[in-house]
Amino acid sequence: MNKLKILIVDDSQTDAAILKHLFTSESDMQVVGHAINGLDALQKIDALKPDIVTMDLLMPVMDGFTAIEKIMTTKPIPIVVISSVLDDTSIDASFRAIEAGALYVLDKPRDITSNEFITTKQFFLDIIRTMSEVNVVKKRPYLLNTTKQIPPVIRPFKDFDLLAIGASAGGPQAITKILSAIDKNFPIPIVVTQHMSAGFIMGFANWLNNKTQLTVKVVENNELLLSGFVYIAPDNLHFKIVRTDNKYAALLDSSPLVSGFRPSINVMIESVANATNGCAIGLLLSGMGEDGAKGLLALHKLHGHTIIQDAASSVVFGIASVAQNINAVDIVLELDKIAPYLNQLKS
Amino acid sequence: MAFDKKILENLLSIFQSELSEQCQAMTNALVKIEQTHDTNERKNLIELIHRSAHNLKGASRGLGISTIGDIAHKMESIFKIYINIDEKPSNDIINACLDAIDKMKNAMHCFIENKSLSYDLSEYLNGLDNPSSHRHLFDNRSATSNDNHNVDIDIDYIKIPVTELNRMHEIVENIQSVSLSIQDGLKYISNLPLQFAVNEKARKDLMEYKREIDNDTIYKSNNKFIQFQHDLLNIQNNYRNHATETANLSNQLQSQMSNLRLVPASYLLYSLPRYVRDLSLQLDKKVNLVIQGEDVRLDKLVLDELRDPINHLLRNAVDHGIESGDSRMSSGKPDEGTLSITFNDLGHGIEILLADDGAGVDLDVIKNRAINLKFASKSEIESMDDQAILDILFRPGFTTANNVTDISGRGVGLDVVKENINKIHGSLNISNHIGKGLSFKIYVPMSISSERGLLLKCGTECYVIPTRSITHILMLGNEDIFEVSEHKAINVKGRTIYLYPLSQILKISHDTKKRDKYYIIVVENQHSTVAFLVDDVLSEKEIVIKPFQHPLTKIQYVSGATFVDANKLALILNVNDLISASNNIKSIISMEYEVPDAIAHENSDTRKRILVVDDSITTRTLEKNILESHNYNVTTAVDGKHAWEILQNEKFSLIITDLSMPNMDGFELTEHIKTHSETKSIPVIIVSSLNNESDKTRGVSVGADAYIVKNEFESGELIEIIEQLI
Repeated sequence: MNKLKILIVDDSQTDAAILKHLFTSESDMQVVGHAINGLDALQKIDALKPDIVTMDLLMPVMDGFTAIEKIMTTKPIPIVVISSVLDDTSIDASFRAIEAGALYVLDKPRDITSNEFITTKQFFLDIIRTMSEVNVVKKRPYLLNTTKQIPPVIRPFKDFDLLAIGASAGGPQAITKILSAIDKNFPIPIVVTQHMSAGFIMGFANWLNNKTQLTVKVVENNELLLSGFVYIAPDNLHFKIVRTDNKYAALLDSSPLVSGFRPSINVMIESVANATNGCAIGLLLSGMGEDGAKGLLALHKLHGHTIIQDAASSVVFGIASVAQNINAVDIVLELDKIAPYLNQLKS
Repeated sequence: MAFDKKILENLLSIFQSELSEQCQAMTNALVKIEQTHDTNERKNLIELIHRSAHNLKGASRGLGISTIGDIAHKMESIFKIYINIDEKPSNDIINACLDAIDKMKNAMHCFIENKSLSYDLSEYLNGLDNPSSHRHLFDNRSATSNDNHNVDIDIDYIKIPVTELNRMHEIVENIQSVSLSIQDGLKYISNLPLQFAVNEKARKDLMEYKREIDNDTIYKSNNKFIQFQHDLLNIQNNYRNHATETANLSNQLQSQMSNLRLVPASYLLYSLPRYVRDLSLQLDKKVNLVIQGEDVRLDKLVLDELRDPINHLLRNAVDHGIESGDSRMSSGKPDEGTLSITFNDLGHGIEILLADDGAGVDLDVIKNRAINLKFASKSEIESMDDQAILDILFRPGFTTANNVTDISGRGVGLDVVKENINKIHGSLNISNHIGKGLSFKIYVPMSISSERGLLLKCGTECYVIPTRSITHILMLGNEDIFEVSEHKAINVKGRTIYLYPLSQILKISHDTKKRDKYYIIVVENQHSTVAFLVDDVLSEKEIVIKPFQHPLTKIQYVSGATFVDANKLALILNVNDLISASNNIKSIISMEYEVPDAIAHENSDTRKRILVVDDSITTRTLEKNILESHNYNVTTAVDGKHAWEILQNEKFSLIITDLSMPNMDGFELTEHIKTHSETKSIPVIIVSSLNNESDKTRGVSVGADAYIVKNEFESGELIEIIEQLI
């Protein structure tokens, strides 16, 4: 079996050593090198041909963003950012990295002597394994505005009340792309559950807010959901939607993990299906695992409109493929076409 | 646990080295921010601090050292603000951050020793937000700079450039290839007897005349022999080559090994800007430190030994050398003083220049002080030249400071600096420019791991004198030895050099046989040249010095030991000690020894008697040796009771006693001595392992004449006190 060749990019010797021990204790992984800054990374990628790069962001000489941009515009390979950005005001740094082409952002390992670390470690390694298989494409510095055919609405949009989006790995990039192209006066509230490492969500919302004409925020408990807003599920709480009078409101709760997640996409979309009695659109984007597929099926059964992002444009075609397999999907769209498709929904 | 213990330890030591590196980088950046006027440079420095703090935060949290993580995080957020506002951080902020760096190093110690911090971390961190209003929390500069020595993380490994390791690898590969050729050669040799066996039958026939031998057989046999001779020559050649190559390679390996131990001077120099900054703040002087030669490489051992002397010289320069701003202005100098330290690689060694542009030293002050402190008489002083006057600065106990400050002038003076430098076979020279400053030139070898020494015999023992101190080895007859003003002397190339039997200096007996020729070794240090008479000169060889371990840290005349063959050790003599001892003999006993049967007065003992009382055999022996080497006659007792019994029958000039002992302790003994009329006039020195004020008071109250702490033996203090008391 060919081992997964990993290049570690980090200016901290300690962090690099921790990662190295973490990876090399796995039988299927192999650390082929360690670069101490972005420039060093560019050279080592050429020389060592790694399968995946773990990238720190704040480094001397050349920082991580610049390196990611250079790598992704010349000879793209999968990059996972591993950076201690979690409690910074500059958390949007990690999303800048994703925008530049990184596939995933992980917080640096915390207290490797603690018991919690054992679970973190498994997640960490799974991310690396999954991301290494992503087929990255060359990111063109200037994206041409393609005038591709937008598919016609396959079933008429009739008084939909909510748009529910679920995503996991590869989701931030996809959500950004969609929301940045969505109409300012999109007629219904948008609710989002994005799987994400703890601590990142507020930064994600802030960053996203600068990318779209809608208002993006982390949802609060009992908050009424309004059009023109995008509500993101907070850390560590399930995001359920309930109907009060003629409005919808958020209900956050800390009931047990569902399908291994909290917030769970299944929980959100099922609650949307029930609250709206099927008058909602469900959209599943790139992501590992299957959380969200059952929810989408529930919505589909109540005659909601269900969409998935296609395999080619997904970083990970996981959740969406499960949804497709259980026949929960009305239409498969490539990423570029999702926003134009949704924009056909007029009030 | 996700990682096993071994790996965790390994990660921890990587982190420690990273912590120490980043702390150093941040410290220097902070000091530079304070000085620079270039906004671009400032921006870069601020970014560097932000990045380093960020880096430490991540790494320390990774290892679960949350204390360091929290402090680093705080620093990171503080500097994040400065990145955005592009403004010079206030002095309060800089002080607070320097303190935070010390706190991180301290937190590392606490983590390793599993101790909790001595302060409330969250209160401290809150204070960091607004340093000016919480100044009490960290504006304690003298305390931090003193702590600094304790919290500095000492790591006993060095970074080796991969290129150096590659070179090493090449050498090892070459050694392997030679080893392979030797093995091939061995195969070849093993085959030779076989080739002979082929010819065996012919040989037998020839021997036994069993049958007629045809020309052809003889011809073939002859050829075989020629071939054999040829082979032998080949083998000889090959092996000669292999031997040369092996010797060559092992030399290369050795020199590469010492190369690996070379580290850049920056290892030492990095810590100086902060040190000088803290000093100058404390003394309210403006000082600009100019550092050159950070890249000069030298042995880490040498560099470590240079740390204290250089710190000491810098401290003196800031305290005594550089004047206050006002007085500088009035003598037409810029109000900011300049202190420079330069490392130069001279090929064979390293030269370090340390200069200030202060007032220099007033020779009259030295002269007066020397007379006051009884270092020399007025007439002696008059006859000295300027350099000799300056050299008084290096005498033990000499200080020109008028008042004892925190910084310097505590009596620990340049003598210690010089001694430290001598210890690593270096030299120290001073030059004075009145009104313009004082400068020191230090020379140290690049490496001290091995050197050459002359193996000689004196009495029954072998000794080694380092070859570099030897200028001549002579064989002279009686007629070559003459007398100059009551000294034996010889003439070496027109110079008259005093001659002493080495045995006299070392106070050992020696070969008293009359001889026609004597071995004489001429040695020199930077002050004088002296000749020693020895019994035999054996050989010169490379020596590997084994320094002594505590408590044998300061033995007179001896600097270490070396193996002269597989199982015989010889003591390495300290030339500086020998020379200064001979200077003393010159002034005290004026060479009344006969050459060569010099050792005479050993038995007619006029030496003063000292009673040493201590229950520890180590201390007893150590004290006895120190005292005997200063020409005292020493008797020992194991406790107060034993001492008191001895005192009933014998007379002593002085008693040295330990405090805690069985049967009768030191206080009781002193009290006995001081309350009995026959003994009360004998001075008593109490020697204790602790510098304990209440013991000291009690000792004085029972009548002790002096109280000294054990580790002060070595600094010559004991002898000084004895000389004062007898």
